[in-house]
Amino acid sequence: MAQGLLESGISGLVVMDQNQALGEESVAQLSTQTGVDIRFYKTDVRDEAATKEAIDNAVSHFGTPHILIHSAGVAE
Amino acid sequence: MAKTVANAMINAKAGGSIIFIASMSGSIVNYPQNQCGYNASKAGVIQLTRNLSAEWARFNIRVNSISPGYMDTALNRVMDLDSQKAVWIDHTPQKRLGKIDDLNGAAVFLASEASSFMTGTNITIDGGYTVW
Repeated sequence: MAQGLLESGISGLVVMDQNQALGEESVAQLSTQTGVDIRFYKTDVRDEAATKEAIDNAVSHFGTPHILIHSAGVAE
Repeated sequence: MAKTVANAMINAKAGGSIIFIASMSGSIVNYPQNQCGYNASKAGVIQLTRNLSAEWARFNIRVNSISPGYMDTALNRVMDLDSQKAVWIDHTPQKRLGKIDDLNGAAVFLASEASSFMTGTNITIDGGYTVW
């Protein structure tokens, strides 16, 4: 989905995920492919304070967000 | 998370589009495996989507959800699930699992002005699973 949005012309992207290795790798790949400014934050959405801090940081770097996709999932 | 991002959107008077990834499990009950915690939480996501769409419409923020069916993702790529996957595929009119790119079109559509009069809706992308 991030790739689809990048292809449609967004100017900045933030990816937040628990999995640091996978997240950083994906972001590096997408950024190289598209040349768009992309940041990754290792985040556990259950930690409200840390999540808010990551978002505030992203907003101070990129400015106002226009699109948010919530896709956190857990397998039992 | 939605609250923090929405606050940023509201403060900047910019409007925006928020997309929740729910699941068909928020509307139907999966078979054959039991997963009531997951399903109930996804039903919560769908209802939260509707509530937030009503609360934030006046700020020009649209809130919609996508409900995928059975997708071929890391969540499901476990050998233990192979026999169940055969059942899932059999119960899907399109006779396959969703590919990871199958949600892209809907995500871009909901994020863009092409959906500017849509809010509080849920788009099901499940190969027809929920019609049977």
